Amino acid sequence: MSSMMGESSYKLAKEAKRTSDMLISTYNDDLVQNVCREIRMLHARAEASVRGMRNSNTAPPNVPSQLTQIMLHHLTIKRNKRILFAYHHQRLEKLKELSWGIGRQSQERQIKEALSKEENDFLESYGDLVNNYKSHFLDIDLGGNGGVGLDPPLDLFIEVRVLRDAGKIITEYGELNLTKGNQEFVRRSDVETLIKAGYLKHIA
Amino acid sequence: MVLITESYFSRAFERIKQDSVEGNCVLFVASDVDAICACKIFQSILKADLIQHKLVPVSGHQDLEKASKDIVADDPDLRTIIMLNCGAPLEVFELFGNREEVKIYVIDSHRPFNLDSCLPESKNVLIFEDASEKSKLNEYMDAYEDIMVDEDDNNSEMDDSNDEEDDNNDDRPRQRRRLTEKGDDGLSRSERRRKRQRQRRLLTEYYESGVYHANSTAGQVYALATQLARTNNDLLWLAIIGITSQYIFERIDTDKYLKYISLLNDDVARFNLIHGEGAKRTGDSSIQTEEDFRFMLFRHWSLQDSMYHSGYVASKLGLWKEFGRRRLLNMFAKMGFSIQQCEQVYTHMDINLKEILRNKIETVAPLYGLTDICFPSFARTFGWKQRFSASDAVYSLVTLLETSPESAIRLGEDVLWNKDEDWDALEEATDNIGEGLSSIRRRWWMRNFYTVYDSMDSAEELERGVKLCMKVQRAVVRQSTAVLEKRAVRVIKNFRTVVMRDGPDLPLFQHPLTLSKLALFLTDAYREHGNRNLPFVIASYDEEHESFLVVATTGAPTFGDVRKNPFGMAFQKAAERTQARISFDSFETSVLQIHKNDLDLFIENLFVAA
Repeated sequence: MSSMMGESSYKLAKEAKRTSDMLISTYNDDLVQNVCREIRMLHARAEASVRGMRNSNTAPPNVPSQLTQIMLHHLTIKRNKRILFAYHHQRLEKLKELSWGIGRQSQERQIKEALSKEENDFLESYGDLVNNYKSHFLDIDLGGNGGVGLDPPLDLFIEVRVLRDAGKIITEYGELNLTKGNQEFVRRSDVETLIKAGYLKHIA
Repeated sequence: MVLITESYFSRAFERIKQDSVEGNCVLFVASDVDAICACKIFQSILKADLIQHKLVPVSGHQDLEKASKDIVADDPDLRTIIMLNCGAPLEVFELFGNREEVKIYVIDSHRPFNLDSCLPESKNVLIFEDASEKSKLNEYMDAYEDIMVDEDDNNSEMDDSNDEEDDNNDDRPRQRRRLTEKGDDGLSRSERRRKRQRQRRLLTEYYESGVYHANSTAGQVYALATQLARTNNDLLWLAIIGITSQYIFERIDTDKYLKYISLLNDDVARFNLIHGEGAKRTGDSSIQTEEDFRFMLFRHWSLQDSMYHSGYVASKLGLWKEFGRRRLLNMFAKMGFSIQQCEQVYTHMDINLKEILRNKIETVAPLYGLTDICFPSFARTFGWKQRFSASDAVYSLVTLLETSPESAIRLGEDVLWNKDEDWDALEEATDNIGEGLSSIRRRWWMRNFYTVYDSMDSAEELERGVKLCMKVQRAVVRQSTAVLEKRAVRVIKNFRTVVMRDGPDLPLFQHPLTLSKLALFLTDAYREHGNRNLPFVIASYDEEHESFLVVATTGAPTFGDVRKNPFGMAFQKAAERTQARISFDSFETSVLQIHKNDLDLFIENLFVAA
C-alpha cells in the first residue's frame, strides 16, 4: 500500500515537466486513470477509518495512529488532485496558444491525435471563440508566432539584426538594404513581417 | 576636412539629426572593445532621437571596401557615414566613391591621420579630435596643403609616382619629387625651397615616426553624449570600459589615463550617490571608484595565480624561473599571508586578510621592485551576484572577441556564442577575398562581435568571459615560458623576433589581440631582465592557410609609457623589397599575414630605425 501512494502522480508530474518544451505530447490516459483510481481508493479507505472511529466510541486523542492515517490519506488525495490540475492546465495553455497562432495547419492532424476527446472539444470551441473575436479586428494581426500579439507595441523604432540577406525592401519612408550581418534601427511597422518570416531578429 | 573639437561635437550631431530626416545613416564599427563600447553609446544617442541607422561591423580594409560597394554605392539616399575606430588612416572620401552629398564622420583613436582627407575637396569629411591635439595637427595640415597646391600648380600631369606596389593599403602619402618651383607669394625662390624642405621633412616625420593611439573612441563619444546631456550610468560604464581597454593594452600612457579618470570621476559621483551603509539592493548596478591592482582578474582567481599570470608582476619578478617563483613566495611571507591562503580562490580568502591586503601590498611590493602596483579605476556591482572591476570587464570582453569557438571548446570552456545566424554560410561568403591571404579568423569574427555586443550588460556573460580569459592567459603564460626557456628569441639588427611554428596552444594565437598579449608579456619580461629595450616581432603559424600572422610591438621605456609603432611602414618596405605575398588587412598597421615561405626573407629585410 505504501508503495502506491503518490507514485503515479509523481510519474505524471515528471512527464509534464519533460514535455514542457514540446509542442504537445500524447494524452497519457493510463496514468491519469491510475491517479484517479488511487484517489478513489484512498478516499474509500479514509472513509472506512472514519466510520470505524465513529462506531468504536473511543475518544479521538487515544487513537493517534488512526488519525494520522486519515490525515495522510487526505493529504495524498489533495496532492494527486493538484498534480492532475497542473498536468491538464499545462496542456490547456498550450492548446490556447495554438489557437492564437497561425501556421500550425501542417501539424494539425498530429496534434488532434495526441489529445483526449475532451481536449479536442475544448480546442474546437476555443478556436471558434478566438476566430470570432479576431473577425472584429481583421486589420490588426493579433496572432502569436512572433507576431505582434495582444500587447500593444511600446516603441516606434526597434533594433533588428539581419539573419539572412533580404536585399532591398521598399518601405513607405524609403528603401532599406538588408545585408546579412548588419544591424538596423528601423520602424517597427516596416519590419514586422520580416521578423515573422525569420529574416530578421529583434534585439531587445 | 573639418576638424571638430569637443565644443563643436553637439553641432555636428545636430547636423546628423537634420540629415537623417531625409537620408540614411550608416555606422561602421571596427572589431575591438573600444569601438563596440563607442558604438553602444552612440546608438543610444541615436535611438533617443529616433534616428534610423544601420550598423555594419568591419574587421579590416576589405570589409570596408566590400561594404562600400554593396551598401554605400547602392544607396542614393545615404547622407551620413559614421566610422568608429576605423578610417583615420584611410582616404575615406575616395573610398566611399567621392560623393558630394554624403558627410563622413570619423571618430577614431588611430593616429596619424591621412592628410589627404584634409584637402579642400574633401570638405565632407569631419574628424573628431581633441582640442589639445588640434594645433599640432593644423601645422601638419598646412604643410601638406602647401605642398599639394604647389605640385598641382607645377605639373598637373605628373604620374602618380606611387612608391608602393602593394595594392592593399591606402595610407601612404603621395610624396612626389619636384625640382623647380614658381614663387608667387612673396618669398624668394630659395626661401621657398627651404620652406618646402622643412615642410616635407615635417610630413615625413609625421607619417614615418609610427602609429600611435590618441583618445579613446568611447571617451570621445561619451563627451558628445555629455554635451547633449544624454548620459546615464550605463553609458558611463561603457566609456570606462573603453578607456580602460586602451590603458591595459598599453595604447595610452599613464598621464593621459589619469586625466581621463579625473574627468570621469565627476560623473561617477554624480550618477552614483552613496545611500548610506548597508543600502545595497538587488537591482544595484552602481559604479564605484577603487584602486585596482595590476594583477589580472585577481578577484576571480587565487592571489597567487593572478600574480603569476599578470604581465606586470611576472616580468618584474621573473616568474618563469625557479628563482622568481621563490621570490614571489617570499613576498607573500613578508606580507604575512600563508601560502594556503594565497592559493585559495580570492572569494574564499580570510576576510581580515582581504582587508589588510591593500596596505600590505603597498608597503611590501616596492621592496621587490613592484612600484606602481595600484592604479585608480572603477568597479561596478551587478546586484548581489558580482562585482566587476573595469579591467575585469575589459579582459573578459577582449577574450570573448578574440577567441575562436574551437579554441574555447578545446580549453573546455562553455561560452554562449551568438547563435543567431548561419555562420557557415557567412564563412563561404567571406573566404573569397581576392588576392589577399585568407585567415582562419574570417570565419568567426562576426559571431564574436555580436557575442560581445550582446554580453556587455549581462553579468553571466561577463563571468563566462572571465573564465575563458583565465584559461587563455594560462596558455599565454605557458607559451611565453616555453619561448623564454627555449631561448627562441633572436635579436636581429635592432629588434627581437620569435617565430612560433608549433606548440600545443598555437591555434589560440591566430588573432592579433591574443598574439599582442603574448608580445606584451614577452616585451615586459625582456625589459626587466634583458639588456636593451627593443621592439618585438612575433610570428605565429596558421596551418590551414599556410601563412604566418605577424604582430609587432614597440617596447616602451617604462611600464605605463607608450612609444609610437613604426612597423607599419617597415613592413611595407620589407614586403616590397622581398616581393613577399602578404595581406595587410587589419586596421592596426602593425599586424600582417604573410605566406609561410616568405617569412624568413621578410624578417631579414625588416629594418626599423631605432
